[in-house]
Amino acid sequence: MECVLRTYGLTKVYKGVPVVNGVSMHVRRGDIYGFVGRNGAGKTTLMRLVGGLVNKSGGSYELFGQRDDGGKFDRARRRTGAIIETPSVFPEFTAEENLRAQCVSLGVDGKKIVPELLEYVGLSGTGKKKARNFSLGMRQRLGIAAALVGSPDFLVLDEPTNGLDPQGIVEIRELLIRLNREKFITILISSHILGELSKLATAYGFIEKGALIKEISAKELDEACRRSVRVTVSDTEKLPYILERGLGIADFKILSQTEADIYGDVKIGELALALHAGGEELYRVRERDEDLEGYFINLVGGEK
Amino acid sequence: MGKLLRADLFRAFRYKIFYLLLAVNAVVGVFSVINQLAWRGYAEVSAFDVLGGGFGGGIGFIGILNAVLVAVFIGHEYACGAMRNKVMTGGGRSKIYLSKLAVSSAMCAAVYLAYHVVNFVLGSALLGWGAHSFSEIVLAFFAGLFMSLAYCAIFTGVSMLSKNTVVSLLSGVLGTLCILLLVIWVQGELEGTYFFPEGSEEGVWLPCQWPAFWQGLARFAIRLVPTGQSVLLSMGSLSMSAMGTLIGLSCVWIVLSAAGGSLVFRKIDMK
Repeated sequence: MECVLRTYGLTKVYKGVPVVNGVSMHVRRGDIYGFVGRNGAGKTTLMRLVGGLVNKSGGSYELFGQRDDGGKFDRARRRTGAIIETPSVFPEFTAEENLRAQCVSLGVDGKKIVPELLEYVGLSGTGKKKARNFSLGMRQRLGIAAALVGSPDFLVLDEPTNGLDPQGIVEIRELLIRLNREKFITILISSHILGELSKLATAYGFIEKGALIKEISAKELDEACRRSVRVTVSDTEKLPYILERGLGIADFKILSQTEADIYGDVKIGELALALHAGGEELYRVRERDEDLEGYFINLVGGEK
Repeated sequence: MGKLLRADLFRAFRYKIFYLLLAVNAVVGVFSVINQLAWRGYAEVSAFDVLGGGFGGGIGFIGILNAVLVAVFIGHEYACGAMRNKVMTGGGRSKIYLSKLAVSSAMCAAVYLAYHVVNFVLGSALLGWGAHSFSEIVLAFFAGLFMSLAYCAIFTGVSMLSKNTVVSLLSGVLGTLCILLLVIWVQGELEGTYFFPEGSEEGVWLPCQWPAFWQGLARFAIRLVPTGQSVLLSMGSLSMSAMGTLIGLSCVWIVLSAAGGSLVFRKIDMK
């Protein structure tokens, strides 16, 4: 599938320390790409690099197939909307004035699009209220509306739910899902609230100490995080026969000569008896029930 | 570039400090005319003297106004993330810089004009222009205008590269005042000093003792920096060719900011 954003060994070094270290990531068209990493892992710096706010120290990247050193790159960037750290909002302007300012900046006729966008993000009733008097959630939604002014095909959002109350988080999540499904906007989003991220992301990139350690689709992640029992046996050669014929379990995965994952609810007693009857020794049973958070912690090595 | 200019103008027209400084400089213009009127019985005064006051009144006033105007206009755009937004949406860094320079220059020129329009209307009517020729008045006016634009070019560069309202505001205002003090001191040294030998009641003028090269360099530096120009223009004793030189030197600042500033702005990292 076509990539909206592709980076090739992208690197940023601050005072000799690589903050982003040879990152090669792929954000495919139509994805909601969840960017996961600890504080200081390099998420925001990578987003800044992609947004053109900081200059790279090495590597390169492509936006809509245009290389960052190419002549038409600014044109590709115009197809992007972004909120990095805080939304771009003039506090002394009303929501409408803010969007009109953005329309003027992008050369868009605001007469039709401004009321539409205010309606879309649920700010149509704010009237003459200045943005400085908005709640954090309203500002965030206004920032997203401003980012949508140029009808972007790609949105870069850095921690858009930071500091929001639970209702605000749900509102932003629903808004992003609608944008992705109704307007087919590809979204690159970072968040600390992994449970929230797992409700909307269709792909993930895990970053640790500036390096991208894994890219995985939501489907693959679901697979990896499915409730399962990991068994360690004397030999897995006869295991498929025992599971299928003896217990009627077809959903399992042989991992090695001695290990296998069995998905779904497994009655351990029945399993042990069936293995014993089939001449297999059962050494160890571990229940696995991970979510995105657990997967991430396992991936980066816990508190290490 | 056109879109960016329109966006900056959109903000400039809603920028309250701009209107405030316009009003302040116009009021200063009114008071300057009234002040000269009060002197009319004691000395020969004309609107040309009021014109001299509009170049900073010997205290770099126009420089301070421009520093406030530009630092807050650009700094606020950084603070609320609009500058970042323009870069991320493909505005092009050089174009963003040049657009800021153009709109800031227009605002600084307007603030400069606020004083002089008052003088051209009130001062002309109440004081007249005395023995000063039309070309002398026009040249002095344009020398001041370009000085104001040179100030703006410097402050735009500082504000765009410092990315911080407080830093650019303080460096602009304090920089203007510090350079003003330096210019006044150097100017005094170049003029020479009077001293009174022991037992003599008559003062003896002692010319500047600096080597000729340093004197030339100091005179050039005073002409080069806008605050120095402000002091020279406020004195009102410059020849036509000297005023032409000042306009040329102001243009150097404008070109330097437009070319160098936009080039450096492309290289800096933004938050």
